[in-house]
Amino acid sequence: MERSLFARQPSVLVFIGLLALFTIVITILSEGFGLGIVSTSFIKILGKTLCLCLIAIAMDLVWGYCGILSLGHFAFFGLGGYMIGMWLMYERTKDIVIASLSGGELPATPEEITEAIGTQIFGVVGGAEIPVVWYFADSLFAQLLLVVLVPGLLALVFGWLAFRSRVTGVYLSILTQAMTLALSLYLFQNDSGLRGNNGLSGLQNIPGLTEVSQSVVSAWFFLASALALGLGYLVAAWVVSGKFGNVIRAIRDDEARIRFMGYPVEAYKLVVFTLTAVIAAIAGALYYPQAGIINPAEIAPIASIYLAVWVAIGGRGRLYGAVIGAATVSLLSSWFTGGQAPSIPLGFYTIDWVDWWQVLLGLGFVLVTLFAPKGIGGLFDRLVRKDAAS
Amino acid sequence: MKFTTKLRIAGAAALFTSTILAHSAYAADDTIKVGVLHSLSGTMAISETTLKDTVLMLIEQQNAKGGVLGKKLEAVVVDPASDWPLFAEKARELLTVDKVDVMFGCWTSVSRKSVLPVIEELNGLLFYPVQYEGEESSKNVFYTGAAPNQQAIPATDYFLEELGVEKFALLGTDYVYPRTTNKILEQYLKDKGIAAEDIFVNYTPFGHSDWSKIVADVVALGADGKKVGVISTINGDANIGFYKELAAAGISADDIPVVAFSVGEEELSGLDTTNLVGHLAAWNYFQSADVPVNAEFIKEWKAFAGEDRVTNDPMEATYIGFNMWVQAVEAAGTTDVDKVTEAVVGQKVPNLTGTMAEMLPNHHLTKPVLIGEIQADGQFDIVSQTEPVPGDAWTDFLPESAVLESDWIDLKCGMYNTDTKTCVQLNSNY
Repeated sequence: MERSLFARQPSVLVFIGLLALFTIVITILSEGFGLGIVSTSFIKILGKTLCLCLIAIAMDLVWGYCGILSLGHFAFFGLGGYMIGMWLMYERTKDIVIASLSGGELPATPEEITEAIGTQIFGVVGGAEIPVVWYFADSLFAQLLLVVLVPGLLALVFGWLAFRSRVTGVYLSILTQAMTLALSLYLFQNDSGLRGNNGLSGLQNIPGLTEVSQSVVSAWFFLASALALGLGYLVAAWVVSGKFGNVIRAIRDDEARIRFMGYPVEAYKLVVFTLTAVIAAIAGALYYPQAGIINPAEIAPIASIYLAVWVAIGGRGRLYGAVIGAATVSLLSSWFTGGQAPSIPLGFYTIDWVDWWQVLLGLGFVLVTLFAPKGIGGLFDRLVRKDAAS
Repeated sequence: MKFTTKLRIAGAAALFTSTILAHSAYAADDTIKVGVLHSLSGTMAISETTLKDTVLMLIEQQNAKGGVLGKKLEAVVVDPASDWPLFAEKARELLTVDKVDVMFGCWTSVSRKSVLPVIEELNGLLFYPVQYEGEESSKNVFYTGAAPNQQAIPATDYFLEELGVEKFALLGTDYVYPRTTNKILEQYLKDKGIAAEDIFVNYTPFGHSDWSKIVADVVALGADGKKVGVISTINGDANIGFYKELAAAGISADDIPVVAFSVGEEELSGLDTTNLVGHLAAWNYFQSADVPVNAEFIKEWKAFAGEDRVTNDPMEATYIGFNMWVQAVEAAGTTDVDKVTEAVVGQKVPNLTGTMAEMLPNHHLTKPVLIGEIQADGQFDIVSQTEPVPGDAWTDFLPESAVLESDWIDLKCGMYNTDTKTCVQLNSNY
């Protein structure tokens, strides 16, 4: 008898329940839909944090369960953001252009509209032509498909080449770093057609919904992010439970042995790598409309390294660990950069957190790695065991 | 299992309530809040921290004079950490949670483009203190740095008229400021009768270090004996390698002069200037400006920040912007953004080079253009200074921008098409 997912993984039910409760409480407290206790800026931070939790789950799946230390998953996150950003930017500009051209004596021709959109979007970076990569930018459906297809295909091709050549361990990590660096450098160039260093901006303004206030839009995105995180968690839990999950864990623990037993290791790794890339891309597509801007600096190699650090801090090999890690670090960063942490005067020196928070985070990473190798999530294990023993 | 669940709920609840409390702990005080939105960590920290300190110094001085409208000024300093999306997040936080009355901040164009939609949505007020590429005018932003016609065009004129340069190399880092500036300059040079083949344009990535080929190309440009000049919008570290390569190729400032728009006192301090001596920079302010008000400012700055610190152009822009805001608030009798925005236009404050800066209806300033020669001590010898030039939001040298005008007082539009007599859009293009 096959037992249900929840029976095999009771923590899934707990996580989904907590997430639902959290989402409902925040929505009730939000400015957009409820009491207005939680500010719109904080809703945006929470929504973005949920997206980071989602990519952390993807990271945990590929690293914590399958043993592939990918240091390039933010490339997929960023690509997802770029794909949705193109539609957001194109349609918003189109609305503005049509509104401003409607004052003319003759109705604007489609050519005039396209030309004006080009000048508007690319004028700031010294261009006027709409590049070929923007071909589908006027179709939300097409760009949503591309959110999944572009990063998915990149991961498939990259993974196929890397895994087929049996690149593993630290070499694979370096290769993934190279991939995200190359992509970032390519996008930095003006000629890549995605506005170079400037990236895509104003993404928080949803085309056709300009009358809707940001407090409502932010609440929608918060809910969508929570939903995506819940679904992502379910998918990940389903993947790691069952036989497939056993095989990928075995690949993590001893790849050669699994290969000798006749399992197509490369195929398994490729499936996990591509699936997690798609999850990362979806997280990115939800993240950047809340952040408002995407530019190539977002997919610099350091971003993907941070991602691995979050998962390490939260505790890899347990999905909720990834969520805890991502949420903790993201919320702490946000709090420290907000200038609200009180300075500590020591007499001879005043600790200003804006100067010191990164040092503190770094120390935190070191401490967790040294004294809690299983991360924050690992602390639960100890508590459970003590609980059971007493 | 039950225990962990409870623990997790408790943990989540604790984290959550503490964050909410932190966010609602700010009650309305009897102060005027000034948001400071400059990166204090990350790649831009080295430049932007100076501006944060400048604002803090100005606030301290203003409070010593009794504040504004009888209220003390209170700085709210945040750290957008050189992370562009974080600029938008922090701007929203400053405006809605901390409820600041004005913000001083941003350095890079991309950070400004990141906060634009937020401040326009929430009707905030930002003073932006850095020279930029123009082609923008927001109702909610005052641009106290130079527009291209206040830095690039006069510097090019200096090359054409004073140095007799006939061939131009426009070298820049590959991002929006060099791209737009060079696009304007290329058109300007063509209008001045320079042939297209006498203009060499090249873009390099941030931190570029291999300059030998590009320098060779520049030298080759002058093979026929015509005088070559380099207009550099190269940003940051890349400059070191560029000037080094020039020196290595045996090129002196007399052979091929370089005028830079992104090299100032701050960038030169702590740098070996041997290879740079004699080359030029164009700004609206140099620390070496010999006027009493500047001497006073430098003295105060050194007392505030340290004896070895230098002053630079964006600091002067911050100084002008801050004083304009104070005057406008006092003239309007309120910190209300709409009233202050109207009151800022037309304000005049002394700049630090001996003339007056006036805020124009297009939210840009009148600024004198100074050309300085780099000295061995990292300071500039001022070789040319113009009368104040009015800043132009939309350049006259590109056909699609020449028809646009910005006037927030009479036309109430930042992007007015003078051909069709319509306002293209009220929000700025970001």
